[in-house]
Order: sequence, then structure tokens, then C-alpha cells
Amino acid sequence: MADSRQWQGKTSGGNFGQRFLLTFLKRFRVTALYPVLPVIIPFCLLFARKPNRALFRYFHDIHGYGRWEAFCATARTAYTFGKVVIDKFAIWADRSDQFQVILEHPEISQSLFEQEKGALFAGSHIGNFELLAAAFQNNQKKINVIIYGGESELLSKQRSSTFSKNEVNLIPVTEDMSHLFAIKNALDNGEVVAILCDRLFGSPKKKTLDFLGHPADFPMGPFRLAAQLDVPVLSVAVMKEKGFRYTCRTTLLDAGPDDSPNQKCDNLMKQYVFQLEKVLQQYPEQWFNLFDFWNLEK
Amino acid sequence: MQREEIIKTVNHFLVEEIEIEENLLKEDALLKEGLGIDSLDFVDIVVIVEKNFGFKIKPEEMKDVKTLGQFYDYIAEKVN
Amino acid sequence: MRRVVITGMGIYSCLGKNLDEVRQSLYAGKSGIGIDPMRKEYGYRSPLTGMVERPALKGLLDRRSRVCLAEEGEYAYMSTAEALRNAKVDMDYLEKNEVGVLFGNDSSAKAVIEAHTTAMQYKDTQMMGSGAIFQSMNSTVTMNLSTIFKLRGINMTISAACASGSHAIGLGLMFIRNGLQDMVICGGAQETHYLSMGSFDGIGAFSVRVDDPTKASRPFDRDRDGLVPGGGAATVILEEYEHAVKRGAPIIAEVVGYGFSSNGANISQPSDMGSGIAMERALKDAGVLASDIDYINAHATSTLQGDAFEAMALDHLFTPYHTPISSTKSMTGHECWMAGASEIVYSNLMMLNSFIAPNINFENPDEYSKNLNIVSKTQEKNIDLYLSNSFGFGGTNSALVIKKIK
Repeated sequence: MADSRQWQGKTSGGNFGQRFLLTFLKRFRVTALYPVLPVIIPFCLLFARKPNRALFRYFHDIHGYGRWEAFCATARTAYTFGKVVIDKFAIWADRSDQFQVILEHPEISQSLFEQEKGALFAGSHIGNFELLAAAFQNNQKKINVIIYGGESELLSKQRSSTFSKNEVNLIPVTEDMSHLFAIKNALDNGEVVAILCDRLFGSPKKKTLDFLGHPADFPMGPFRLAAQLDVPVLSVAVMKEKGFRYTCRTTLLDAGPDDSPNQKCDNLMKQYVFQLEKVLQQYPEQWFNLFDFWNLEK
Repeated sequence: MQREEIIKTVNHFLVEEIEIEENLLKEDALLKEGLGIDSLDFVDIVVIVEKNFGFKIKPEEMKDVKTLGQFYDYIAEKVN
Repeated sequence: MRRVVITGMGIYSCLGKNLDEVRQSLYAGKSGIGIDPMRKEYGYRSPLTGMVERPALKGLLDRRSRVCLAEEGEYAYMSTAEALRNAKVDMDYLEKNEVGVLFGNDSSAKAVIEAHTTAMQYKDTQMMGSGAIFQSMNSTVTMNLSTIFKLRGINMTISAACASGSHAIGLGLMFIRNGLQDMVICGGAQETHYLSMGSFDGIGAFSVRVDDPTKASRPFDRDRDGLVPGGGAATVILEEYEHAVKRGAPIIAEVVGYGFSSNGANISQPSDMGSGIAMERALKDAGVLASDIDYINAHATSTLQGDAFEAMALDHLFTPYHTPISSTKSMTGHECWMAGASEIVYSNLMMLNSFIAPNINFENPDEYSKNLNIVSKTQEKNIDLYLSNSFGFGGTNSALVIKKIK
């Protein structure tokens, strides 16, 4: 599967660019950089063929837009993605205070933070997952975020430093799958584990589900774990609104208390996909899986 | 009962109730192959004959009745 | 991962003889309940019934077909012919392709009684006529539909009391999902003749609000006093999604969830536990949560206990989300073996036209329904996902979740 930094790798221009962004955004608000995007984006659309095509097909084949509409939506999505990337750099530069994250139905997540059990927060490559911690008013549980690595050392270090300040622990995905033990330990300790559930990583165990009317693969791992450990699963989406605002939408999934672990995993996966569909119907232009998600090219 | 009357009554129920086309009702028309009367239709004909002529057709007696003309004759024999 | 969609629907009920008439009645909150004078003569406690006009089939069907059709078979023919037309399926297609039929029906009383009466009168079974046996069997509807429409797939009748029509659709869903069929004609049929409802009236189940027939069926209302029987037939054509797309068929909606259970308790009373389990299973099967449901078409028949138990189950699952609920039985009466299927047709009409048909006669809630969001007047609303319940005698429960295809 494509690395989540694929797009960014082409725009940031290496270490110097990253260092510049971090330094700049420590001082200035993100809106200072947004105006640069309309200049950069057209170049990216021209040269980043694969992501461009994937987005186009997403709008044209999956959402059923006409060709021109799909092209415009692709451009708009690229622009939003650009803004979200800048926002992410600002977050890593420890300036997440400038964002306003409105949490819908806070009582849902609140009850999870208050109970002793651990919980799994299931996210997707939509909106801005980095703002997860900022979304919740929480000082009861440690939040562990599973990250994929493949970033520059500079960004890794910066990110770790920022997040540990805010009591967010980053667990990198490793080749030897030892991160699974870290996840299990965290859940056993009653902590929250936040993971992006729309990419296959390492383990071949996947399920093909109907997603926006076409079959797509989703990893079974996180859901199986939650089912086996019997921890609640919260689907989370942090979606960009105008300016500095974000909306965080959460839905508590229902594994079905009396079902077998396999059936529970099945229930959770179906519900996760359904909730993801719902969010995308409302925010179709914040889909950031910039590769052939549905294997349409085959 | 006159043969004329029998023909009229039989033709009437064959057209109205069994819904056979009137122009097919000739004396030499074969009941099965010509008029398309199958075993289920025959069951209904037994009922209608009972109601119209007051007697019950016995299947054994119908063995040699192959044409419509022979059917008219059979009924005439039974009622007279 | 085969998806199952609805590509055609047909209806023949006391609200109308086709989809258009029924849609208008649903929107207007019009009741189809009236009084059958024959029932008074026969000795019924309640003469109230859904008024369904007998179809005129001469000219539409040949004699042999008509003779074998019982009353409910005639209704089923009408609704199925409409559904096939709407699904763009003609006789040529049916002759060349394997299509199944799964219909809900649980009685053919009139045919049996008439045959018996004839035998008694003439002391002769031959006088019953050639059609009697084919009209009298429970499988009369599917037997006849498969003959008339030359169907060569799965062919059987589902008898599950008032959940028959719903289970028939659930089974159709399963056959297609499992790759055993690509297209199945599903539905439910119900005879309305006075000879068919006597024993039901005999247990005192019917409402006696004779002074105001259109107000007699009042599901969830505090002053309900029993159900009003109705009938007719409803058909939905279920088809595998890719198959439908390839065929260029009109796709109306998708059947995404089916849940069932049995109460294992009282023969005539429903149970909130049992109903709840069927509904939860349907939601799980669909991969949705209770909060995702935009509308619930309740089973609610206007009986004192039945509505109470269902209200308890609905309250437990849906009250936190204020999900709108209505029972179309307030307008149609209890369509029994047909209900599970007809209510899918009614709900699809609502979903396609973005409105919720009212639960008419809901004037005062009782202690069980007071927390529920019962829609008592027609409401314009966008429905993307709905749940339909059907519960029958013997504790058989069925629930279906249907999704809009955008």
C-alpha cells in the first residue's frame, strides 16, 4: 500500500522544506501559508499522476460525478489536502491551539474516558487525524496513536516531542509486528489506542466489504483485537470546516455482546465502513487515500 | 330432449364456461386434439353436465366418445 | 459479497390497485377500512375489514389459469404483473432465464370451505371442480404464479403467520446472497373473503368500533380495541446487484439486513425480547446502528398487548435517537400474510418520495408508546435507511433493513 506521505513528499522538497515549515508555523498562523497553495497545487496536479488519477476515479467512478465535475472536485480536494498538511505541520510545531475543534456528542467519548476499560478509536485517512487528541477534553486516559513511519527523522522527532508534551504516545508500526504487543498492552492497561483502519499494514488478514457501492479491502487486525479483548470501538472523524474550525464526529460501534469474536469483528467492520460512508457523503472532498483504493485499474 | 336442444346447451357451456372458440364447435371436431379439452377441463365438464342435464358422466362410458358429435349422442342417450 | 436490490414492486390493496394510487393514499393518510355486510349475517363479532376489490381477470388470463387461482392468488397475480412490468421483465425474459418465487401465504380458507360445501351438497367430490385442489393448498399462490409466469427457480410458499411476507423477502435475500439465484419474485398475499376470517374474529381479536370504521385501526393509541383485518397482495422483485446493472434494470432500493427470531413462549402474544432480537439482528446484518435508522415501519396491529410489547422493544432500542415511527396498518388494517411484503412496498414509496406516511388515529399515547416518536400526520422527510418489523402468531419475528440507492 502506498505510503501516507507520498503526496507530501513531493510538495515539501526534503528536509529544508520541512524545517522551514516547522519554524515558520511555530511563529505564524496557518492562514499565512494557505495563499501559497493555489500556486503550488496546479503543479502537483500535473506531476503527481497517480494520486491525481486515483482522486479523479474516486469522484467519477465511485461518487458518479461527471468528468468535468470530477476534475474540479479533484482540484478542490488537492487544495484542502494542502491546507490539512499545513495544519499538520502547525500541530507538530506545537501550535494546535489555533484550531477550534468542535466535538459532536461529547458524552459518547466522555463515557469511554471515564470507564476503566481500554478503548479503540478507529480513524480513517480523511480530514485530519492528527487533531484527535486536541478534540477531546481528556486527562484521564493516555492516548496511544499508531503511526506508520516512513517519515523523515526530523519530522519523527518533532512529532514525538510535541505529542509527548500533550501526553499522547506514538506507537510506530514495525516490520516484526511488535507494535501489536504494544497495542495489546495499552488496551489491557485501560488506555485508548487510536488507529487508522482503512489501510492494510503488514498483516494479510483483510475483509472485502462493500464501500460506497464498490468492493474494497479493509484490515481485520484492529477489529479482531477489539473483539477478542472486548473493548469498545469508537469510530472517529475530524473534518475540516472553514478557517480554523474542525468538527470531530464520533460513533460508538456495537460489536453485539453475545456474538462470537469472529462475528463481533464482522459486525464492527461493517459498521465502521457504514459510518465512513456517512461522513464521506457529507465531506466527499476530504478523502485522502490518494491511491487506487478500490483496485479499479485492474 | 331433442338433439337440437342438447347441442345448444352443450355449445353454450363449452363457449361460456370452458371458453372454447365457437367456430371450432363442429360435429367431427376431436374433443382432445381439436377442442383442446384436457383431463382437468373434463372434471369441470362433469360438474356442468350434472348441473345442466341432471346425470353424472361415468369416465368408463366416455372411452369411445372421441368427437363432439359422439358427445352430443352420448348425452342424448343418457337423458332420453 | 453479493448485494441484493429491489428492481420492481407491485401492490394490490385496500389503499389502491397499483403503486400510484397507493402512494397517493399513503400521502393523504387515507383509510381503506369499511364494513362488510356479509360478516354481520355470518355471525362475526366485528364486520370491519379492509375493502379490497376483486380483480377482473377475464381477458388478462386464460380460463385454466383463472380456475386454479384462489382469491389471494388473484391479488398476487395483479401485484406480480405490476412488479414485473416495472422491473422491465417480460415473458420472453422469463422463458429464457431462471427466476424464483418465494411468496408468503398462510391460508386458503375460502377455497377449502367452498369445496367442502359442494361435497356436502352433492355427496360427491367430483363436483368440486378442477380448480379446487389448486386453490385450496397453502402453496396455491406460488404454484399458480410459477405456472402463469413460467418460473423455473426456487418455488415455495412461506407460511409464518403475520410474518410470512417479511420472511419471504428475507429468504429471497439469502438465496441471492448465497449465489443460488439471481432474481427472485418475493411477496405476500392475503384473502379477505368473510369465510377466511371467522376463526380469527372468534377469538375476539378484532376492533368493534363500528360507528367509525376509518378510526377503528389505531396502533399505539391509548384507546385501541383490537385489529382490523385486511388483505390483497404485494410483490417485490429481488435481484443481484451486478445482474440488475447489466440488465439495465431500474434499481429502487437495496435490502441490506434481515433479522429473525422466535419467542418460544405464548402462541398469540408477541414478546418485547423476541422482537428486539429480530430487530438487532437485522441491524447487525446490515452493519448499521440503531442511530442510523431514519424511519421505522412498525408491525403494530392495534391490539392492546401486541402494540405494547413492540413499543417496549422500540423504546429500548430507538428512543435515544427519537427515530420516527408509524404503522401503516392504521390505514390498511392488518394485512396478515401479506403485511410483511406490503409494508416494504409502502415504505419504499415513502423513501422514494421523501415522506413518512402517518400512523393515523394516534390521538393519545399509552404508557408504552409515550416515549416513542409516533408520526401521526404526514411528514416530509428524507429517508435513506428504514427498518420494517413483522411479528406473527407462534412468536415468529422478522425484521428487514432497506437502504436507499442514490
